[in-house]
Amino acid sequence: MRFITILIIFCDLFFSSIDLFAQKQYAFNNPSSVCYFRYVCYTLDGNYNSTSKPIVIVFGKPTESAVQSFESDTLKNIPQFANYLFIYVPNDEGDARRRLNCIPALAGLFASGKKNNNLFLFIKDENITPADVSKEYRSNFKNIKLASVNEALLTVTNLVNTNSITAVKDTVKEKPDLVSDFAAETVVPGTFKPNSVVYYGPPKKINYTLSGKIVDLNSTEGLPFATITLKGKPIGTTTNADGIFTLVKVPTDTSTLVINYLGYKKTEFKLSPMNSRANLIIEVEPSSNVLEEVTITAEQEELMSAVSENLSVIKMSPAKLAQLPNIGEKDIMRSFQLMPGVSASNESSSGLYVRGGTPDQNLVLYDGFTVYQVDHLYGFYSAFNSNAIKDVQLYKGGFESKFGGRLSSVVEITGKDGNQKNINVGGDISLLSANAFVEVPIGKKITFLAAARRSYQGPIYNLIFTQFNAQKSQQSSRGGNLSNTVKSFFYDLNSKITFRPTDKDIISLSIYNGTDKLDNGRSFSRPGATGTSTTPSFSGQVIDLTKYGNVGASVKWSRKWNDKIYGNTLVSFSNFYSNRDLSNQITRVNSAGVDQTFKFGTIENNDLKDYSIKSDYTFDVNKNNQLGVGVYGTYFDILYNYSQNDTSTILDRHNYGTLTGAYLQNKFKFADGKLIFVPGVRASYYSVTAQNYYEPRFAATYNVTRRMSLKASTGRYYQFANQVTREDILNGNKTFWVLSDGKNVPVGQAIHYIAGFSYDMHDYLFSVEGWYKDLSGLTQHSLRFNTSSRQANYSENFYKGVGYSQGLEFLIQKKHGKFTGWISYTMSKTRSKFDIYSQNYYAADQDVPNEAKVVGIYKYKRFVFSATVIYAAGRPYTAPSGAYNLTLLDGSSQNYYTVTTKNSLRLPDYNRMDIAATYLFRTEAGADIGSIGISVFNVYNRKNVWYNQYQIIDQQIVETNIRYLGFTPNITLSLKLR
Amino acid sequence: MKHTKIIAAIIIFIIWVSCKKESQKPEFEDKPVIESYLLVGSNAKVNVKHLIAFASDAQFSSDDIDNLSVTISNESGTYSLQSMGSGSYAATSPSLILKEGITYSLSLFYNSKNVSAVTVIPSKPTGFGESVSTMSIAPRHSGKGGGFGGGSTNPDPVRLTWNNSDNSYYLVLAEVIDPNSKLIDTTAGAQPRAFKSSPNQSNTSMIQARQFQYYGMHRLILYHLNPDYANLYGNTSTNSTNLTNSSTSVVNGAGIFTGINSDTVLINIQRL
Repeated sequence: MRFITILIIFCDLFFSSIDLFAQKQYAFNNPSSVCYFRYVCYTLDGNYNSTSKPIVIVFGKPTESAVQSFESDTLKNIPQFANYLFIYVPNDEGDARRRLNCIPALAGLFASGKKNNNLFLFIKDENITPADVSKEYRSNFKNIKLASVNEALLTVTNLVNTNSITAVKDTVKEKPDLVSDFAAETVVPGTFKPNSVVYYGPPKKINYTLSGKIVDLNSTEGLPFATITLKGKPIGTTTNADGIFTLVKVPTDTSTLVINYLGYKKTEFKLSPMNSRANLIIEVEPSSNVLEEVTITAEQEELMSAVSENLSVIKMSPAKLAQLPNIGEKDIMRSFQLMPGVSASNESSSGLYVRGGTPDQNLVLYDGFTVYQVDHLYGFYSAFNSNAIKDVQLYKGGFESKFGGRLSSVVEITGKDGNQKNINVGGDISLLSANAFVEVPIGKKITFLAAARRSYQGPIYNLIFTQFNAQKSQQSSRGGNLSNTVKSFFYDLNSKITFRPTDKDIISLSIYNGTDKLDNGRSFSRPGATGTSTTPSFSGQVIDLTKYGNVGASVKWSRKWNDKIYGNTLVSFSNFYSNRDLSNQITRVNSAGVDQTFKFGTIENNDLKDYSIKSDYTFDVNKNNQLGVGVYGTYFDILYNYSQNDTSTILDRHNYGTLTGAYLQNKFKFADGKLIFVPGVRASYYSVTAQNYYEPRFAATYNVTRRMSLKASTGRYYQFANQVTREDILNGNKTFWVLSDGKNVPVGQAIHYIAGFSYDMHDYLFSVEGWYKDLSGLTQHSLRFNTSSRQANYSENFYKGVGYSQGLEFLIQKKHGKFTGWISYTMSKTRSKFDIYSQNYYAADQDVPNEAKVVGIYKYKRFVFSATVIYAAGRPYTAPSGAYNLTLLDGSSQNYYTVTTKNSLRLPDYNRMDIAATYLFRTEAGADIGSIGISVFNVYNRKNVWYNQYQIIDQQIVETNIRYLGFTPNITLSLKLR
Repeated sequence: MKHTKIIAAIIIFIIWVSCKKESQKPEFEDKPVIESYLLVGSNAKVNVKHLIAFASDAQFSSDDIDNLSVTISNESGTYSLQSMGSGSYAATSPSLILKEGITYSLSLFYNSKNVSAVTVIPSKPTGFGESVSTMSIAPRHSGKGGGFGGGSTNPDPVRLTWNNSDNSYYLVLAEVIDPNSKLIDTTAGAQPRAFKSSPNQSNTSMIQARQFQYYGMHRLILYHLNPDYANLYGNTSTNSTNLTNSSTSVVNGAGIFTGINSDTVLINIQRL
């Protein structure tokens, strides 16, 4: 049958006591529906699908069986009904009137979208009165007979031709008025939305375009990248960043939509003709039971063809991060590191090493603007406050034409808009930081959200600070009798104002500021020599201050021009700054009695500004075609300044350039959505090199079955801004960004080849992906030829190289049940070749040949227990093969090293287990309003090696392992109003 | 579950085949360490030393560092240096008095390889001057809780200036001349008799009063350097994340072979 809600569950032909009549049993709807029931059809000719012969639906009485009912029916003795279809709907359970309300929907299956004048209803339950049968029922049927009424309503006088419904005169005078006759009914059980209108009538529209928005039930925030599919059909789509979707060629307006969004209950929404076709709002409810939805979805979602189109995409649910173990902060970037293809063994970097790529090859977009620095506190934490984040997606490679400017991967973060219904406040406190947020609706059209987080010098902060500075304090000879009070912290602020002037427009302003201040300075003073004056004649400071962070803002205007065209335009600003001041400042009274301030030491300042504008449009051309176009432009302004004392500026670089371009891509669907091709191209003009750069991209998906799909993608990627790390373990690594100039710093290029397979076994997901990434135009900055540790001519220290990365990733995920989790394994090989190090390819710094991660989450009532285990092969490193000592001009001596072949050795394998237990605070209504969690990082106190330190003692080279964090417990309390 | 078992078996197999042990033994190549500063007006001297090996079983060359054939050549010829013991070699020929602007090449044979290096003597600094030639500093008493500083007044710093139109590298070294000079801070222990700035491409330098540790006449030497000497100051990394070969201009060897020129001014540090 062509109708969407019928599932044949049993097929058994037999001959009844009535000669030649056949019987077949069907189910209407699925078991979770309020209108689920089985019914029996009898027909003489075995044709159960005809709508051109008389159809009699009999709503039985509780004491009568289907066969009894059919046998007692006398209509079949009337010539016009000789070949009729007799449909028996049992009335043996539940509320007869509720069941009766489902009859018109059943009738709709035989009505072809309009009234069938050969359709008759016989209600044999004597408790059903005419009052129970509204006009709407009558409008669906040619005639209705009730057992409770003596008068037989059924007449056959107008039935003149049993083979053609067109020959039957329509005796209904009035057009059905569905809205008034089919009152909205709240259906509590089943999977229908509590507040949705359930329509039982026939469809009114077929093959139409439907657009709308998927929103959070509590806050009515749009949910980005939610998947919407038609139940039982390979038709689907995903919402855009504002939660808006368009479905082309929806078969009927009584179809059922299935909405999946990470961290939310899987929702079925039954369409009805009463729904808006242009602005349908579907509310989905956050899952209070985190494990039903699991905190990840990989490429393949059950029945989600739209999601399965995307290769190498991982989503995270920020709201569920608290369930995972942590070292003080729930952290999005750390959680991504538990996924296949993303390395987890670098505790001192929140940046993502994706498929052999480095963090600077990973584009991080926060509400559309690029974030250039993602580390807090030496990289142990990421710069993103998960309380302010609504959605985050990682594209591990082969990403679409919409994204560019990076060689490896993309993290797209969408901030929360704020609650549109109620004021909400909340916060967390852990042993590392305190965190608070507020959401305020202002009128009906404006929402506001602000979230702030600040570390404090609690036990964990001190632990990390001590760990990081252990080596430094060993080396430091300064201090003397000065006290050294560390005043360091990080903070970040997120705020967003969203204005919805019309149903079609959204304007939002998003602002982010994250700052780290590491102050290890000291101050001193002393009075005059006589000791009688209270005014210091000599005062000063040892300044050891590092301050870095990001400021970003974007204004985005999104508009749904019509059902098929959606676009947004974004203007953004992003600033990464890093100031390093390692100096002594002395204020003194000079011989003339005037205060003088002197500063000597080093001062380093990096300031990157990115001004961008971009516009993205999607056109849903038809069911099988979606066109995406966009234009973009970025102006870079990068300052790098390095000075000694307050007098001499050693280096003062100021680079700027523009990158402008456009992209075009089209999604073609073939074979009813089974085969999808997405060709695209991105063309950029880069002012610094005055050249055009073309990036062809191509992705293909073949949905072999509903559960199994094959995917592949390829593309070329360019990178114009490069981050250079000036490694400085003693004082913390300093990174700065430089623009490619096509000479010293080439434009980076990567070509991706990716293929994948996924198989969804309902409760389990299995996926495997393989990649090969060819890299050229890589840049490294080496200290090897630095002229001075306190002075560097950076333009002379860039070196060009090439590389490649290849690997296989496996993921097995258990998605449902009390116990969920996943096992991921990545096998990879990443090689680089920089002539300054070696003429041959060598293992890249980030090369991890084997990495396995296991995540298990178990729920018991309001408790959630979780554990993660990470194993990673040791990273490569370079050791000294020999050492020597030179006497310098002033008579002092200094040690120097000769080294082994670049990265020819490996640190010991990395492994670690973390565990956590969380108790959820829940209201009586079932809403989560907070949690208290205990987490233990590195539970068996594994001494993982961070790096090796070398010293020459007694003419011997002594190696010391510098280790990552050991056993570290944490407790986090989270509360929110709603 | 059948699928799960198959998948698990595949993964175990892949892990098994992919866990290949790599060599963990640092290789060692014996190279001579050269230490030679070619100062204008003096005879060439070269020190040759052994590397310290990381591996305990490292194989060293049997070549005797006191019995090498070390030569220095310039535009007028090639000259053998004489072994002075302990790896030290010195030129004896008066033709090898080092001169400004001349290129010198070092050559020796060690561990079956020809070890060589080339350098040029930079020009003498020009325009070198100081803002004051005498500075009066009150005694300091840091050991008695006085901290930094000296009396109620502090002298202005010495500002040194020179010409540097070609962005050469310079380094300032201050050292006390009189071996019997007294400490400014009598409560502190022994202090270094010299202190220096890092090489830089500036044309000025400032010395604060508190940097001087002794009373008496000081030499302020301005060295004009080649970049390879400046490079020595940039190779202090000692950890495995960024360890690289230390910079050297010696082929098949390590260390420094560089020409240096200088100029000197004097400053007298007096007790206030």
